[in-house]
Amino acid sequence: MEGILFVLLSVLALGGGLWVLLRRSPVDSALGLLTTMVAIAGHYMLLDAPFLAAVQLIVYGGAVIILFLFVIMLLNLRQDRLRARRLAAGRWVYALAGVAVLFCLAGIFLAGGTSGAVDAGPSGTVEAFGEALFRRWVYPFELTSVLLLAALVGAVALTRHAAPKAEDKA
Amino acid sequence: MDFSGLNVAALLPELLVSGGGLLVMALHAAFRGRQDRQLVWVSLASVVAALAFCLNPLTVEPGYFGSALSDPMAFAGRITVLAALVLLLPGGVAYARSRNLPQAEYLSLSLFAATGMMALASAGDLIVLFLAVEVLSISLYCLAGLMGERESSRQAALTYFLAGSFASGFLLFGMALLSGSAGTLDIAALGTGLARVSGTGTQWVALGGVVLMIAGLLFKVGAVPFHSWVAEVYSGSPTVVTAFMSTAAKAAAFAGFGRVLLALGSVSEAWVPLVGICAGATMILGNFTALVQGNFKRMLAFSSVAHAGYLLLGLMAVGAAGESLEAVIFYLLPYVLANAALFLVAAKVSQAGSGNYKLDDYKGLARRNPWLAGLLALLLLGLAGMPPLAGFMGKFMVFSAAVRAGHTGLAVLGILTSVVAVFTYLRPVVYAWFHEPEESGALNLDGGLAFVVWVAGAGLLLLGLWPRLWLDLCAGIGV
Amino acid sequence: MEQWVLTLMTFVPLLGAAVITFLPKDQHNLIRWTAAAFAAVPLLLAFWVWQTFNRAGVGVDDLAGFQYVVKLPWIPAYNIEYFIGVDGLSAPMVLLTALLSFLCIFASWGISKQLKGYFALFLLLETGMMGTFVSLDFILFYVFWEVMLLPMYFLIGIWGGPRREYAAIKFFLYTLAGSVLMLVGILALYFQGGQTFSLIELMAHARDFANPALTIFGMNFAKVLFVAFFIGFAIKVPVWPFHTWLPDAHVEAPTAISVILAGVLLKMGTYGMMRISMPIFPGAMQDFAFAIAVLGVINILYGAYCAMAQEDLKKLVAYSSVSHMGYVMLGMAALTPQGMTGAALQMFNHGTITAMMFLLVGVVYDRAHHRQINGFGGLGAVMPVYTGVAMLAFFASMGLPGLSGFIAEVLVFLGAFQSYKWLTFLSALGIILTAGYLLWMIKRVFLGPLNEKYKDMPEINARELFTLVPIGLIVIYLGIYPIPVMDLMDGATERLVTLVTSF
Repeated sequence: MEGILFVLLSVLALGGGLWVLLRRSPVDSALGLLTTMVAIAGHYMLLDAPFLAAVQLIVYGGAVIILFLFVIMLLNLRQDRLRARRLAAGRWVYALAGVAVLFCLAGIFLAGGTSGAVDAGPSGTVEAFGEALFRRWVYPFELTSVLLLAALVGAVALTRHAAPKAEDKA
Repeated sequence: MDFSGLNVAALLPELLVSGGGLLVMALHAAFRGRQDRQLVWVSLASVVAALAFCLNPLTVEPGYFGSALSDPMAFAGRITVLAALVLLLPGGVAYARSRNLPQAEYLSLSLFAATGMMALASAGDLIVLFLAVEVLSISLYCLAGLMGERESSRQAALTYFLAGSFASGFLLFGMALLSGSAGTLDIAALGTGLARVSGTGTQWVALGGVVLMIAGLLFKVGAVPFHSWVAEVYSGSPTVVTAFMSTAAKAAAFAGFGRVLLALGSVSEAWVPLVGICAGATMILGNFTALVQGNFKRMLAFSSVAHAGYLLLGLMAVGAAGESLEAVIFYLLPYVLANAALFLVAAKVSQAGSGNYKLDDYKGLARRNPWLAGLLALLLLGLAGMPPLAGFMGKFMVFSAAVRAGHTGLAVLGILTSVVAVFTYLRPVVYAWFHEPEESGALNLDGGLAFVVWVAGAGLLLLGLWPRLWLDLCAGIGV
Repeated sequence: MEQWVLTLMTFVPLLGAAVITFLPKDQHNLIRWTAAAFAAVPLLLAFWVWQTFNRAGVGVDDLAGFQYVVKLPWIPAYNIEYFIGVDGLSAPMVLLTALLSFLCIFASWGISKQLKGYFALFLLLETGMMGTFVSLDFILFYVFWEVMLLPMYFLIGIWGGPRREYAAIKFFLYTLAGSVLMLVGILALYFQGGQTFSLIELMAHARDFANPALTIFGMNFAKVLFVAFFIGFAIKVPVWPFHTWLPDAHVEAPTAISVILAGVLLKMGTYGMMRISMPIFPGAMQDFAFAIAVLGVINILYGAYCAMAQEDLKKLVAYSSVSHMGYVMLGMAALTPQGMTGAALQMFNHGTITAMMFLLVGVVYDRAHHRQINGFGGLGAVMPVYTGVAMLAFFASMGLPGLSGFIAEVLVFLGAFQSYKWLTFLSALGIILTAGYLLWMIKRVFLGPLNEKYKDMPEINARELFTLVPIGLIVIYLGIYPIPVMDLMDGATERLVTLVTSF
């Protein structure tokens, strides 16, 4: 039962990810992302972490994706304004590296299986979660806030000051 | 709740610098941008406070349950990053002002990036390592795109972002495999964790993780074969940001890289050949590509690829032979000093000349400002590794560590490619001293730039003559 | 207290360079005299070292034989020391360096472009040269070796002739290629020789290095390293086929710099072989001695032939240096006491004689602004004093008895004949060739019909005489009575030969 659910959720998550990449419409992509997020919440449930699953649903599925959709609607992003931009330098290295990773992983799992000595970790209750997050892992938690802050400042700086002036007129 | 393992003091440098970043934004908002000229002093104050705190032995205890370390590597990494900030921020703000870039955002993003860099240098577990990499990367992506009205800057930001995300993916995936199989997130404990699973099927998972992590880190340090982003990003970004990337970010990345490889010493036979090939290829490709550049900024970009090769060689000796990180720690400081000053000089000379970093701008520089031309020669030759400047001592330590670890062939390769490097670095010197100027008139430095150039030059000479000054300082803090 | 004399000799010029950078730019005479004053200090000290040097000391691999030794830790983690001292091999070189540097300050009086930079770099160069000769720690040696390279590069590149840039870069890259080979060798020795850079201690490990089981890159350790060091030094000498930088550098360099280049820098190659290659790899030296002797003979003959073909007076002198350094190689490779003493003496004597010749070329160049041998003629009639001094230098270079070149060459031949009869015979042809090109040049420049263009050429002036006469006196004095210099080096050269032959 769990095995079937795991495969199902994984397929859903990966499919959602591909959908994000392959659709040109921003709204479609946002919906694809939502699918992935929900599937991952399901994974958390399977891992016996109901609180985390709930947070995942509320924060990502609820708030973040809705915000994305709002932004897309507000900015009125149309498909024809989104030009495809390519990674100019060393595309082949990236492609090769990706393929190599795929083969490596396949080889590893075929050779060794996945029976790792993984720690079960704290169970996913609110107490255990809070205990872990705000004590042992409080530093990464704080660091994440710096990360978000930096991203925020950067986003403002890029959109307010560094917009391509010439192209706006065009 | 029990917070005895916290030891907040261990994180004070990071807290001070990120707090400085926050304060800059707050003041920018409070004064509605009218006092932006003063913000650089706020930033510098937080950096200097962090610097002063780093030198304080209070921080010797690791903090946050072992997530924030205070060993010599962490100390050296923090000091190097902060030193780069002290050198770069004043010049950077002047640069930003003259090109109409947002000063407050430049400052706060730089400080956030520095927070990430310091956290990376002192990371005790994989989670912090990854988050630190992300903090510094996100900040740098935005900094790279600050000159957004230029296509090259936008392209640089995008390339950096895509390449960086790719690398982060590798890094994260590798970490998941590695920590899962070793059963720990603690970097220092990875070795024993891996020893426990050796011989079982899990060791293959672990090895896959090691390879993926190393690939991700090679990306971040810009080593061959993952160097393709370097030229575009370094030449497209605003020069002061490039300077920051090639100095502080590189130093921090190498500190983190070194820490990981040190922990993986027990499985060194798995990664030494890999890193060795990359190091050799990086030295060759970096030096020869730098040789043929006609653009000073691109030349420095490729030369920094070449330096990544030498540093990798130093790291290999570390993991494989249980050498100390001394060689790498030492190599980084003069490299950072020289590069920071050179990028700022490049911005100045280019602005006074062609505006696009042509090597020709350096023709006859000695006539226009002999002191600047002399210091330019000193800095370039220091990077090239001419004794008695510190670059020589750095190379000497790296090569001798490599020879001691049994990588004689690579050491010889390194020494031979250094000759190519000397030729590269001599070209601007030849232009500056042996050619007639195309433009007449003195080229005067403002006080800030002169300060940076003199400090860097003096540092190169001092560290070259007394390398123990820096190493003893690092060693005296921890261990 | 007195052991600091070498340190003073090395670093007083550096101090002078620093002082000069702070002098006002337009006070030309002040700059010149400051430079002269700071160059005079090492000369006086070198003279004092020469006077007080204990001739009974041996040196080479015996620390007790070294004098004015200072040994302080510099970078303890790598066992790098500030370890200096002089023995019979280095003392004459130190004297030569101090003498030529001082005189060259006066030979540079005519320089007018960027005077401050010129003299500062010149004094920095002197520091590098002194340091190289007194270093007994390998890293210290290497650092000074490279420190010397940079000022030389700028001195040629900024104050040189029309093709100065090409010449400077060529000089730099050739020398650098040699020195990185040396650096590889230094590292290898460090890890095989008990993690020390002390030359004396490395010499004590000579047996370990020669162990046939010890290999590097699949070849015999000692032989590979010997070759690496040999190439590094050979570029400096310069040994054929590494000599091509020399004519370019000499032609483009200003007069004083040519003097230093030929008088001191070339000697560093052979000095390095004696100080480093021979005592650390005595076995390999035995194996390669014949090859080195052959290279020496090639240098003698090839240099002389090339000199004969030159139209440019300075190039002729430059190639004569290639030829004369061949005698040093030959004497060294003979591995006999006479040969070795001859080689060491030739180093000193060639330093003085070739310095005179370059200074003389500089004198006419300053007046005529060209150096074409065929462009002169009959100068002897216009400039009798100049011609007299020139004859002294050229005859000394030819090895005329009674002048210093003779003694050294005779010793070299005597020593070499015991080891390589045919090679010595061949090299004796070099004497004839030397006489040939010098006499032919003298005929074209000083004798024959007067070139009307130069009938008013001013006679050599007092400042120029001041640079030439002291060296001329030394050449004559050592030609008649070479003992004052020979007794400095006798103990060391004998020791060096025993060290190699008894291995």
